[in-house]
Amino acid sequence: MTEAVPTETQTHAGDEFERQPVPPAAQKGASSFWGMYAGEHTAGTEFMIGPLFVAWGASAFDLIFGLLLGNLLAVLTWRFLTAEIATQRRLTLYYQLERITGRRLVILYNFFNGVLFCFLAGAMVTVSATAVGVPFGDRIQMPSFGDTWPTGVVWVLVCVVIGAAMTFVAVRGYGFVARVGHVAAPWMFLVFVACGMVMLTRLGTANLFDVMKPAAGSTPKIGFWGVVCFSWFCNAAMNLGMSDLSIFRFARKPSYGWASAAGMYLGHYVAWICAALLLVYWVRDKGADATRGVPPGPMVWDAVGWAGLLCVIIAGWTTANPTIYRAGLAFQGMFPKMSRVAGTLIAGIVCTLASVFPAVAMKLLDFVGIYGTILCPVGAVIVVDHYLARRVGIPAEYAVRTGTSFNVAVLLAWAIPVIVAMYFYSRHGVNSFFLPLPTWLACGALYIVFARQLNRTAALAP
Amino acid sequence: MNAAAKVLAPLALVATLAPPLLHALQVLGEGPMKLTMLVATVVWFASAPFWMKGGR
Repeated sequence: MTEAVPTETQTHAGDEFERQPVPPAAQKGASSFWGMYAGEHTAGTEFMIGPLFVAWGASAFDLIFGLLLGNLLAVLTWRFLTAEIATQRRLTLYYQLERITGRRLVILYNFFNGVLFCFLAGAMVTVSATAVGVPFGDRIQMPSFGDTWPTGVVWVLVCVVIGAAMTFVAVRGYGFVARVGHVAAPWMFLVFVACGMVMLTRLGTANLFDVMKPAAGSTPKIGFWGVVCFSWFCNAAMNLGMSDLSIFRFARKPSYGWASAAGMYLGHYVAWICAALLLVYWVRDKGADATRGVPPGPMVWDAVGWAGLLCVIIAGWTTANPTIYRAGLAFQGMFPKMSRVAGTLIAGIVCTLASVFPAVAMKLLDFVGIYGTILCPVGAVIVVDHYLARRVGIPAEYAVRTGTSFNVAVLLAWAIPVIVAMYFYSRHGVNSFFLPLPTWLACGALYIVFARQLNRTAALAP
Repeated sequence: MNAAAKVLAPLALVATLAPPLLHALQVLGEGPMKLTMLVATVVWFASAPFWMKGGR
């Protein structure tokens, strides 16, 4: 899911084309995008998201049809918004944003991006730790869905060791891990499918509608539209938020945006449902409490043994590592004099600290929604700038025109909807995955209003 | 090595998915299923890097 996509420096080692359109000679064919999306969206966190749906009381109908529709909407967003703009402009998100907002506002974006990446990577370390902890048996207390604090000294030690190892590898560069991730992707997907098949065998039916039902008398925390919105917006920062401009600027045609379907329907459909079946089995046959859940490590170990444990560890490692690396780049982007190693070390330390606290991993559905709500609105600014600026009478690429380093109109348009969204999330209990779309729309509308008011002089300039 | 990898890597993928299928058909017990999947995992990671070209 929840895996962040590579930045331009990662897809194109050597910092090429960071501040210029990608030339035709550097553009890539469709197959590299299909492969990349299939691999990137089968990650360690998928082992958490599937069971969390079950814990929240999603039914088989909600999952099967909700995910089908939500993932379709996500793919359409990638195809008709992100890939279109990316192939017309061929610039990175950061540079395109800088041309509109000015450099200092991009620094602010980098800060949020870097911190949220660290927490995301921390969740992946947490997931890996539940697998590494399995051989420790009773000496380690695994966290449940309700845990927010570390569950003991051994748990902390396991997380710190994994986090340190991942940080060390990220400091050395991402190449080896990216290669492992690429090689592991087809095998990981099959391990997910194997888990699902074993669970259905044990449950004695292949009919998901028979086994996936909310407990009698319980009130589901998520329904059909919740599943639709979650699957649509779990990567909101990448599609609506335009982070994947950095990827699709290398695409020869906007139609390559369809490649996102590989990630959505393999990782965010098949893998999520298979992972969900793990908890369904534990609830129905082993008497586990659905709301407290069971950590992925023990469930996968029980289902398919060592191959499963390796899958959880590798899936966590191959996605956490590039995420730490990207967070390091984001921090480095804030302070250009900082070395990449220092940036990655800071990111690794924050990630490791976050991993010790199971709160992020165990509340991943919430976190992913918050992540999208905070980051995706800037994508609306880019959409307005690209498609609507002339029609609504605001200056396109305002920072380039005026030389400003801080476009106040963008800051206001970004901050106000996010603050309002966070208010509804924290005070009124609105699920975070319902918030990215209204926040995005509000940001786009407010940008037009504020730009007309505050940037009028530039609009009148030739 | 490349020629062997071209055979072994796809076989490893088959050997990852076939055991749970055979287990579902009650042809393979749970222990052998898990063991076969582990062996398939080792074979996959040993052969796939030679088989899968490119990557990022």
